[in-house]
Amino acid sequence: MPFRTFLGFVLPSVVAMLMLIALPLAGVVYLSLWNSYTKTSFVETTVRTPVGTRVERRPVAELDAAGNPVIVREWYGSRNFETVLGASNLAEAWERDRSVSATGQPTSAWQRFTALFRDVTNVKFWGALEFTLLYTAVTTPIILALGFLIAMGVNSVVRELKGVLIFASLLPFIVTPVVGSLSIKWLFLDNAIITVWLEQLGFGKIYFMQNAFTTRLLIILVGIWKATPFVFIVLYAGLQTVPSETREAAIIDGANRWQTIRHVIIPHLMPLFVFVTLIHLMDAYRVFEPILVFSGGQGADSLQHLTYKILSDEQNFHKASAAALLMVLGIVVLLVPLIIKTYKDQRRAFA
Amino acid sequence: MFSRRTLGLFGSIALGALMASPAMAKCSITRTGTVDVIGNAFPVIDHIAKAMQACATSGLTVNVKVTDKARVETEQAFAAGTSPFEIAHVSNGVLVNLLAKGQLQPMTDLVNKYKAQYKLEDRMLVTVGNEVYGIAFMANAQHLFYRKDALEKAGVQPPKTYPELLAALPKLKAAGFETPFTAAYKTGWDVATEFTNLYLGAGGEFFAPGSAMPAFNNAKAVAALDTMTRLKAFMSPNAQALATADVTTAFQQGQAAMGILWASRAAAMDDDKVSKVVNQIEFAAAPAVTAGGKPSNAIWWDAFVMPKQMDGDREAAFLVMMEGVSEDTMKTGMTLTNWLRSGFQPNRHSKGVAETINANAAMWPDQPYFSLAHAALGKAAADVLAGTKPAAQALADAEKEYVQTAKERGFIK
Repeated sequence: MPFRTFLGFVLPSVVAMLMLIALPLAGVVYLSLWNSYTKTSFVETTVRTPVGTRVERRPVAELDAAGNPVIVREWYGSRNFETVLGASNLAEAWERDRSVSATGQPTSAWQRFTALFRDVTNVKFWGALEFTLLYTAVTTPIILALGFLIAMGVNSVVRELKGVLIFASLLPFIVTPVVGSLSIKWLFLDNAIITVWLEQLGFGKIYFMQNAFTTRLLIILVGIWKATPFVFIVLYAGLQTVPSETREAAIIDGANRWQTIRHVIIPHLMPLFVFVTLIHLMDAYRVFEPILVFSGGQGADSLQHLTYKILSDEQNFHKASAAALLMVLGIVVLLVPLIIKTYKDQRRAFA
Repeated sequence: MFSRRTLGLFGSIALGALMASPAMAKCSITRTGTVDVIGNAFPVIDHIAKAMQACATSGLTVNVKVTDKARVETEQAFAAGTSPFEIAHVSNGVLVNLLAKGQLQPMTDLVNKYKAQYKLEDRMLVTVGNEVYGIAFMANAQHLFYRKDALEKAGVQPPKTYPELLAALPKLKAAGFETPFTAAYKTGWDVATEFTNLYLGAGGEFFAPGSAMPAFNNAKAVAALDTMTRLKAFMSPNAQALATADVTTAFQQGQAAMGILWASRAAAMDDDKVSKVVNQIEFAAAPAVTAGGKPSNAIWWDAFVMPKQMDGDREAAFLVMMEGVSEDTMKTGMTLTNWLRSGFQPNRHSKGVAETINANAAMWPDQPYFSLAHAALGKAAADVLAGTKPAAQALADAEKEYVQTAKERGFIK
């Protein structure tokens, strides 16, 4: 392909990526290196509100000649990153003496490790990272397996049922995440449909948001419910392309159903498995809505939620940018093995 | 995912639902342009939104966005070069933050021009120095909600203090309420607010006078956290996930006998479409920490404000706001909230707020750095309630966190 033609094809998307991805990212990097705030000074002020009038020393925004608030900008360098990572708390946790337990007994290596782990995950960022990784690691294999099973199931039912089944399977995928999480919260709260139903089935009263374990379980279940349809639809599309010759040849060679799946269908779908894994790793790593709705960060936090909290609670764009960048860094690390594999496959394909 | 047509359909259904309002007094604004309004999602704001939308003419577009993330969105919008909203409904807590960042527009001139026409009362004007920065229209508070029938059955008097409340809970439990108490203990904003109520009730101070230095790591704070831990034992095990809407539902479904909830939810208790306890819930000031003390809650008020950075016609925006808080709007929605206008006729739903104000309850802390302390305390209180940290350690951590964030925002040098 002549270089000009190639350029004609890729230029629009390169420009779009520069404008919509690279530029904002550069902006976030820039923001994260600074701190800024409205300059205030404590001034004796008369405040009249519906509750009464008070005169007190309050911080008042300083105004410039044009009447606009004065904004102070400070170079922070890596300080925002250190704050988000909880560098000082982390150092404290590392240096804490754990050689004897609270009762004065010498501790084992395992006890010292778990105590250290607890102290480290008590630092917000590391606690959020722990659950984010756990969530990603647990949901990924489950949705791959479930999505594949549903795809195989739908593929083998009679034609008339397929439409209905596909629609039902895709439903969680269509529901907006926050709405999905909220409605699920209302399904699992006290005396809600599912809890009452489970009680009638003899499981007793289950409180799904009572502690870290149950909350984590619920968030993971919601994640699986939400992501499985995506895997299903991609693999189902892939199943339509399995060449019938290969499948028939396998059967003629005496392969049973399991062997056909194992040696014909799965290898054929392998690139799609890699694709959905890649997409889900990125999605799972950004888990947000269920955390916001179910836990508010207690017992199960995520990096995305942490970034949101910094932005909404502290109104600090700079620190939130640093948190967002640390998250992006994490996604890159997570994806490296898969990207290397894709790159190698591509090279082999073109070699 | 959705076709554009489907989305359009949803849009017009939602719009139709908003426009289908009961008979609303005619709005007679003759100005043109677009006025965008953002407000918090609770019943009276829906009512005000309809009054504002009644002003829309062929030349004037009025868009009202009602969302439970209004606080976050308003703070971002007002910090932007040009705010996408010309009017925002804010609580006193948000108003002071915006004010300290110099992001509010004085509307003194407009107030003077229209004060007589719209019968604006002095107590509605939020004034700092000589400038009016907000038009307050309602008072709010979190106070005691209780089931009259249940308390009578269990032989319990409505509690005046927290020790009385804690003594009553086992009796209510014995009378068949599995989880007799409820309150919004959700991690973050909600639980921090409950902590603030109890801490203020004990006479606690958050900051050293006239400065942003923290003063909340003390015995009163530990006692407040201890009370919350004891209350939690009588709440649903899902306590730490309960937000205001969930507490409202718990009452409406008859699961709770007593609890602390926003006054703005009182009318919803008697809505027979969603409530099983119509006319059974009574309202009172929050219990005091000790006998004879102030109620353990704070007085809030809500106001409409305008951003400093906005384009469009500020007079049109102001007039739309005036229609939203007019005497007619109050008259057609008298029972929806505690209006600040003198023509307000108190009803049984406003008893809790009236008692709170009469008992001189504390004002919600209005320092612009309070929201930073509040955020740090939200995590601390949640850790204590979950049993992952002792109170003293959690408070020390919150203090450290607060100082860090207050330094970043320039409040502590």
